[in-house]
Formats: sequence, structure tokens, C-alpha cells
Amino acid sequence: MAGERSKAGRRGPVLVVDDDVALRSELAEFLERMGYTVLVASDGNEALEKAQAAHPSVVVMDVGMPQLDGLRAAEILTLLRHTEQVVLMSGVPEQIAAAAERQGIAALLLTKPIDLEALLRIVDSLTLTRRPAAAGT
Amino acid sequence: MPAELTEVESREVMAPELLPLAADFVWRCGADLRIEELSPLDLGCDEAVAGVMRGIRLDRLAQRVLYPAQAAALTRLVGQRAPLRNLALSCGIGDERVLNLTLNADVSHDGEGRFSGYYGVGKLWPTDPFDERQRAEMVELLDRSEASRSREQRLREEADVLLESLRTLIQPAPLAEKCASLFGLFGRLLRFEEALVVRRRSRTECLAVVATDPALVGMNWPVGTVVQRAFAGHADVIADLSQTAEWRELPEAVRSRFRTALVAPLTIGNEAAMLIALHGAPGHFEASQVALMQRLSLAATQAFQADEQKNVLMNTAKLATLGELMTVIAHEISQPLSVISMAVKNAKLAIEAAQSRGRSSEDMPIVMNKLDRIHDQALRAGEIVTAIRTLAHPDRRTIGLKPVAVGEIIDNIRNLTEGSLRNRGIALICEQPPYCRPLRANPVSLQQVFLNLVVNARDAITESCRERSQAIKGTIHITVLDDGRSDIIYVEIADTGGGIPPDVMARIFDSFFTLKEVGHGSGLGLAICRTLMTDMGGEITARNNNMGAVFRLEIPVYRDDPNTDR
Repeated sequence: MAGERSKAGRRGPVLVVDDDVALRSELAEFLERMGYTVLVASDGNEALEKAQAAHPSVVVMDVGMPQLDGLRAAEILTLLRHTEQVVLMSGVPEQIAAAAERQGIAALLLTKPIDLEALLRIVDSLTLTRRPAAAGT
Repeated sequence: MPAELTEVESREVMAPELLPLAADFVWRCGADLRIEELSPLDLGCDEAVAGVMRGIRLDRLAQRVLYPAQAAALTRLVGQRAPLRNLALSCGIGDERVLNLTLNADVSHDGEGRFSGYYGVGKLWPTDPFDERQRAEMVELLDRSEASRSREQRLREEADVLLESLRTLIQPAPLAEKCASLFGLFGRLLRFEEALVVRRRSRTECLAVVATDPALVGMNWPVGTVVQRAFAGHADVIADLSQTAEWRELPEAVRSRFRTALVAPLTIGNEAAMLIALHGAPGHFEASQVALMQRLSLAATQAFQADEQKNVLMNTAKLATLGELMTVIAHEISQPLSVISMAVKNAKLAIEAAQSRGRSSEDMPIVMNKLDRIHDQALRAGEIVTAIRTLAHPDRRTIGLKPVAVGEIIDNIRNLTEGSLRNRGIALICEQPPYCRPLRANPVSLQQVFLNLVVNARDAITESCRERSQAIKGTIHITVLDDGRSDIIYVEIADTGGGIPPDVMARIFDSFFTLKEVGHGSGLGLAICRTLMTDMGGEITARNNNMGAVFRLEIPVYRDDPNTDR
């Protein structure tokens, strides 16, 4: 699977946002291995800047972050149409789901620890609908 | 002596209505009521009398007066700074001599209208011959005043004991210690030999749970008339225990030493119990002591109550803290686990990629790097688990006080709170001296106190930024101060959350007082902090600086001395 993907043309870009450097770099590395062009940001503000410049297909973002948290950043990103879809990650998804509903964000929510297969399926499906021509198969 | 001159001067200032009075002397006192001047007006006035009166204070004079009514009148008039009109006084002046006099005086004022003393005249009345009737009357009066003095003494002693017992009650100390001091205090008044609290264990069994003599603790008190009356709420003197039905069921230890008892009902929680004071001499206790015994039982009831409430409080607060931190913990654990699972996946992918190219050695550094990271993250998760376990330890009291390194506590707190602080953009800065002596503390309690204060600081900063609609930003400063000499190490936890409003400063350590929104704080955190600190022989205080609140902990230094180590 990995080999197959890495031969295909780069897809994306996907923006990975997390303030924890270990998590951010592993996640970026994984998505790169899966054939995506990956951008990284360490907080909400940086994510907004990068998203405005690069218009990523998907933003995978942590919720709890300094300065600008994931929920607020997701709201802004969707409003400004900097991206098609935001995927939020959280260790306490129940609370975040309630908060997201209040703020009117239709974000996809992944529970930490992250199930990488699930994440990949989501990212794949999101990028496929956007750019079916770029699919590797 | 220029008597005439004094007379003239006095007459000049004397109020007109005093002048026609038959007077033997003129007198004057200052604002402190001390008689400064007393001058005989004619030869009928004994100079010795003047000597007795001169220099004495009016309020002291009242104490030397033989008749209580006179003393009351003089005290009242002097207290009101009212004029004295034909006030009759009889004072003993030694050698069985009695001085009878009447005083008249007006109030004098200084230039600004303030009270500046009395000035007036006095007349002496013949006291001799001293007849027998008068003597008997005086002796009786003296006896009566002696009796009232000793009653006053006893009341004062009682008041002292009650005050002292209140102090005992509000002081944080284990129940057994509190009871011991209460018994000690009341023992001075009740004069019992031993005292004990008997609590119902089952229908047929009543056990002594607290006693002045440790040998009596655990003793079974037979269920009989004494217990039944006490449990029904009656306080009694039992003049002779051997006359009661249960005498023969009492243990030998009691029968050989005690014959008489004073009993009062007591409640522990909602349960009936009784307090018994014992003495060896039959008839030792008097009915008048029952009221005092009831006071003691009331105090003991409160001591028991406080002890039970404290336990409830402890558990509630621990639950509240844990609940509040549940989200933090979930986040903290899931973070390293995410990293671990991703690193494993990436390492596997790297190996697969290398195998497919047939050159596995090139990717070895990547894989090694991943393994290191996995190891670190697993340790990180483990540290968090350790911190939680310490926090949730159920047997806080059994651990006791032992040497604790403040650095370890701070590391634990950092592990527990780092994530939630970083998410909010709050920095946690710890400053400690390169070498800090160990603390004499209970590590679980101390950690709970630190955690509470850091979480409070975090919430205060968040709230104050939110109020000003600013991005959350702030600093929590933990400073450890050890001068290397004193018995105390200070730890200060300061935040930049704007401080505690001055009007509530005095209440912040009260139970159920909170500044947080409904549902966000139990109002128990700081109350529990204070209880935990005082339990450890430390202290917690709060103040504001220009940035926010500063909580100061005073923690005793651990000394390697078996006598101080419990």
C-alpha cells in the first residue's frame, strides 16, 4: 500500500496543526508517507496564515492550543473558505462536540489517541471528492 | 500648712449649692479620679483621715466600701461622671476602725469642656462607739462579700475554661487530642479522676471510645439504667455507683477505683452516646456540677462533629478536584499515546519502504529515532499516571509526615498541568534554590495543595483575560524560598490573574466560597488546602501583588530527629 501510494503524484496539501512537536512531526511524516504534501503549523494563528496562503484541501488540527484554539480557528477557516474541511483532534471529544455544535462548526472530530487508518480514510475521501483526477489508482 | 488659702481658692470655684452644706473638708480629683487634694476645714477633721483619703482613686474607694449598695452607687455615678450628692460611704481603714463620711462634689471641666475630675466637700460622721450590732452586721457583710468574691472567682474560672475549650475546638487537631485537652480543661472545675465517652456499638454493647486513662479505652460499659437515662438525654449525678443494677457487670478496673459518677448525654453524628466523669469517693460530685458537665458534653459533641465533617469535606473536595482534572488527564494521556501509535506506524512504514528497496540499513537511524521517541512518550504517560495515583491515594492519613523533596512535588504538578496550561498559553515558571532542604510533610496532601493552587491560578488568569476580551496569556510563578536556617520553607505561588478582590480576601479559605462560575468550582479547594496545611503543621496565606494573587505556603523543614517524627 505504502509503495503504491508513494509512486503516485503528491496530493493535498494537508495542513497539520498541533502545538506538540512530537505529535505534529509524526503525523506529518505519516501523511507524507501516504503521498500527501503536508504543511505544519504550531498554533491557530499560524494555521490561519498558512491556510490563507496555501488553501489546503484538509486541515487536521488539535483543539487545545495556545493563542487561538482549534475550535475558533476552525470557525474562521470555514468562514473565510480557506479550506474545504477541518478535522479536529481531541482527547475529550464529547466536550468538543458540544462546543462545536454551539459554535455552528460542522467539523469532523477524531478522538485521541488517533486511529491512523480512520484518519487516512477521512483524508483520502475528502481529497478524492475534491480532486478525483489526482487519485493514485 | 496654708489651710486658709486652700479654703479660699476652693470656695471660689465651688458651685454655690455646695457651700451651705456642713463640710469638714474640701477635696478635688483629676480626670484619672485620683484624689489629688484633700484639706481639712476645721479641727473636727482628723488629719489621719485625710491621710487615708489622699491619693486614693474614687473607683478604688468603691472597692473598699463596706456596703455593696454604696459601692454600686459610687461606681455608677463616677462612671456617668455625674455630680455626687450626699453620697454616704463607710470604709474599713484597718484596726477595726470604720470611716463614715458623706461626699458632695461637682464635675469639673477643662477649657474645652472635657471631663477633668471632681471638686467638692465632704463630712465625717462619728463612728464610735462601735456597738455589737454594727460589728455583727459588718462581719456578716464581710462574709457575704467574701462568698460573692469566691463565686465570682469560680465564674471567671468557668468562663476561662469555656473560652479555652472553644479555642481547642476550632484548632485543627486529631479528635483524640482535642478530647484530651477538653477533659484536661474541665477536669480543673469538675475535679474528676477519669472521664470517658461511651458510644453504642450494638444493641447490647457500649464501648468507651475516648478516655483520659488509656487503659479504659475499649472498655465495655454495661447497658443499664445509667446508659439508658443518658441515651434518653438526661444528665445525672450518680452518688453511688454500687447501688446501680449494672454495678456487678462493670469491669473490675472500674469497680476497684470508682464509686461515684457524673453523667451527661452526648451525640456523635446522629447517634446517642454518653460522657461519664468518675471519682473514687462516694458523694464527690454535686448536683450543681451537672450544668458544667453538660457544657463539656456539648463541647465534646462539637469536637466529634467537626471530626466527622472534616472527613466528609476531604472526600468531597478530592472528588471535585479529580472531576475537574478529568479532562486534563484524558488529554494528557491521549497525547503521548497518539504520538506512540504514529511513531510505531511510521517506523513500520520506513522499514517496509527500505525492504521494498532492498536496503534496510539506510532507514535504521529513522527507526532508532522513532524507538527513542516511543520510549520517551511512554515514560511521559507513565509519569502522568504516577501523579494521578499519588493524588487519588485513599489513605492520606496513614502515610504520615515524612521527608519530601519540594522539587519532586513541583515536577509532578508540572506533569499534571503542563498540557492544560500550554493550551491556554500560560507559562509555569518554577524557581528553587540549587539545594533545598527536605520538607516535613505528607506528599499526597502537599501535592493536592499545589495542584489546587496551580489550577486556581490557571482559572484566574483565564477568567481575567476573558473579562478584558484578550487572548489568554499569563504566568504562574512557583518560588521556593529556603534560607537554610529557619524551621520553615516558604513556597509562593503567584499568578497574573488580577488578584483577589479585597472584600472577599477574608473569606477565600472558607468552605463553599468560590469566585468561579456556577458548576466550575466546588468552593472547597482552598478550605481543603488550609486544612491539609494545618494538619501538616504548616500554614497557607494569601495576598495580592500588582499582577495577581500570591499564595504563600509555610512548610516545616524535616529534621532527622525521632522525637519530631510521628
